[in-house]
Amino acid sequence: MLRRAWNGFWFTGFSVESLAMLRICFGIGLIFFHVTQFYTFFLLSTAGARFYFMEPVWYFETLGIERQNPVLALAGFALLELATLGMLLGYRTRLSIALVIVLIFYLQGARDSVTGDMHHRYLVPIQMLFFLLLSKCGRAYSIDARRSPRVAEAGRAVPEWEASWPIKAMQVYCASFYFWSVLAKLRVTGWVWFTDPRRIQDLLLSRSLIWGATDAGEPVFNPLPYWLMQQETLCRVIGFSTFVMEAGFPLILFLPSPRARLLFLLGVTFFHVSNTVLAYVGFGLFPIVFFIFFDLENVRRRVASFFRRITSTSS
Amino acid sequence: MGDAGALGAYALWLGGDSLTRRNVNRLLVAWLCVTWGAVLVRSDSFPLTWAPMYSSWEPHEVTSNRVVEDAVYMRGMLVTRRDWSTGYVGARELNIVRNHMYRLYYQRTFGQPPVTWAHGSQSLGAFNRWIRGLEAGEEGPPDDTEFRVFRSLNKTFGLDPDDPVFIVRVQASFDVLYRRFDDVSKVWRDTSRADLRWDESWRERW
Repeated sequence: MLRRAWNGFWFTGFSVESLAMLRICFGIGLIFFHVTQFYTFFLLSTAGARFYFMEPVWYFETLGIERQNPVLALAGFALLELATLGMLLGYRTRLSIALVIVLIFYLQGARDSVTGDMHHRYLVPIQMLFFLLLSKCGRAYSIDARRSPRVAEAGRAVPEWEASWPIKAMQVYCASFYFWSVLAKLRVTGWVWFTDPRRIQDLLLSRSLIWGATDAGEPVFNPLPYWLMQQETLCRVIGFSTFVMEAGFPLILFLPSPRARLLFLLGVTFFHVSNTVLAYVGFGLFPIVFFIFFDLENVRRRVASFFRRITSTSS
Repeated sequence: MGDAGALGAYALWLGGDSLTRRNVNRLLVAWLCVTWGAVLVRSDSFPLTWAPMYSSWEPHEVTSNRVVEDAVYMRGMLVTRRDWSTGYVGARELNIVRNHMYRLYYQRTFGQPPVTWAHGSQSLGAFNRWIRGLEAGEEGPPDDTEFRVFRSLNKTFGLDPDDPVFIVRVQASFDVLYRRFDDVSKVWRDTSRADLRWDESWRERW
């Protein structure tokens, strides 16, 4: 029975076309996501000093990369966008995905090693890329398949189990990521993180003053977080709903209705966008990873039939 | 991290057409063990994590917030060199962007390590204390933020400890606003000052 449940979970539900559509939609999202994560490299002077990293990430330490290199970072960013474009178009798909992974490692390292704050925004995308790399996502809706009849033929022969497990693994990682963050709060701070409104008040207050404060101690920019931190009941609701959302996220893996999943994920998206507006947490575009919770080939078919209906009615 | 690297290499080697269902099962089990293992040992080394973002907080009655002054932190820290000359070292000289300069000025110069340090050392359970080799009362690995500030500033400009313009002192200050949660309109101010001095014993680590 355990074996059947394991196989039923990991190896069913998706086709190679679903996988390819995921590659395309996720790729489009990544193009913009990279900009939000690495635009700061454009603010560096290529002729300026090469900052000696304060806390290099572990793989920079291993490789002996000690300094920020603006020229290399800019070239890496350009190549990253090109490789992401290659990935979404399915041009030398595996090579493109491998390049995207390597370049994210480099650019994230170059950004986070300066003062040593590790950001967590690429953790889910990098796992997704890892599974896309192992998958046969380039065998449909790709330049590779158009150019080579052999690849296209092999794409048609990809069985359901082979197309499903990479997407299921991505879903499991994403759900785990949210669940781990509730575990982390409980391990480090305890229940008080969720039950004490001062936790949220503290966060909102410190972030509201990040651009400076007046003599009266009020923020000079964006009064919304400052107003919200004074609403104790609302802060209590925010703390509790954070717990419900993070702890309940894994349930999405077992929600059969796409509408229910969409509703839940819209709520999570609202959470991330609010965090970006209120607390300047850079997860605003993180919801691009939520494509994994839908069969995008079904979506494509529905959209295509909708447009066919419209065109046939008008003609 | 060796396990993660081995898993990646294994997966790449298996990639393409040789990824049989049996191998996929093995890969999934290994991947689950590695990712959940990272959570168990509280490893936060990209691409593994235990997702500790914003997890660290302690209840308190009085809250304190620094008064951020854009022009001040972008101008940078007041530094004194071995030849007693002084000057400011800021974002332009170091060629770093605003958010890094903010952390360098308001956090590192005041001895505050990256938040990941707190995540990795706060409220450790018995298992995590044991695998880190910590004695009773020890919080985590030694925090050497001060040394790192001097190392980064000097090495960025290619300065060695014997150089006459080697930076030996770093100073910074900012105002802090205090208030109680039950009445946020009443604020009082204080000034926080950092005064870091080069320790000659650090030469060994240079």
